[in-house]
Amino acid sequence: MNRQAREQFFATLAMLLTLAAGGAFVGGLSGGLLVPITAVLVMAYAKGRFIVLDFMELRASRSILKSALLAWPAVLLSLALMRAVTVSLIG
Amino acid sequence: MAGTKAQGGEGDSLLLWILVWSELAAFGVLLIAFMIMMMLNPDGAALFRSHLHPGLAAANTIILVLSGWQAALAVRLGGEGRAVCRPLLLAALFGLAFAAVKAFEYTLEIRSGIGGLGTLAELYFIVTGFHLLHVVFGAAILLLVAWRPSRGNVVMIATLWHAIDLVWLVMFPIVYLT
Repeated sequence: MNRQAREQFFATLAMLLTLAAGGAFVGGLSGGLLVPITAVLVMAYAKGRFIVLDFMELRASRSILKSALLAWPAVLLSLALMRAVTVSLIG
Repeated sequence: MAGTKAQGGEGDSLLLWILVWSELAAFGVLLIAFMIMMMLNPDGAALFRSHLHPGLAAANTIILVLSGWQAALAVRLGGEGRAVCRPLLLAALFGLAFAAVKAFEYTLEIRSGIGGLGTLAELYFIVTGFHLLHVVFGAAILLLVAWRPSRGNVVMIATLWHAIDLVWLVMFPIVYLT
């Protein structure tokens, strides 16, 4: 692993830890409001994206596998967002 | 001989991705069922949430991210030789730390009476317990691979470990935060 790759690898970890702490903090203070819940879900997707692209080393890949792996968290988190929107509209 | 080896490698890779996708499909279905149950019973969902400990789950997110990072480091170091033992060992230890925190969290939740909340609580234990089993099993395999590392085994367990990590990163906001 060269220096640039090592720095990028550490940067990925820093981003993941920041997003994990930030997501938990915002989620803890959300109080059921839609905007912070959306922020939490977007941060969760960003974390998943880092895992797929950098930890699984698929950033340079053009395979359908990469798209499918990125779609999995996107679909579930979108459903969670739809649920939150529905609950806030009804409730 | 080389062709047979290459075919073996492709076969291993195909099996690995079939395994990963079977896990993602199973957890996807469970998480969708959980969201539907939460939506059908908003009062029960609010009561259920009051028994959870998102702080411990957030700590577990950080632990699992560090674990996945060590597993990825093992692959980047070439996946074989003594150099990969340490990151694999650390990945396994972080995995076991995750399990310990989760067990502590379960203890607190059971003491607070979460078991009396019916289907939602049952589904919660199924989803998170199934994931916990994967973490414990994955940590055991990481330890085995750390003992005798080879490139193929390191890549395989690291990929599975990242899939388990990905499942938790999606499960955490769905179960605890939203």
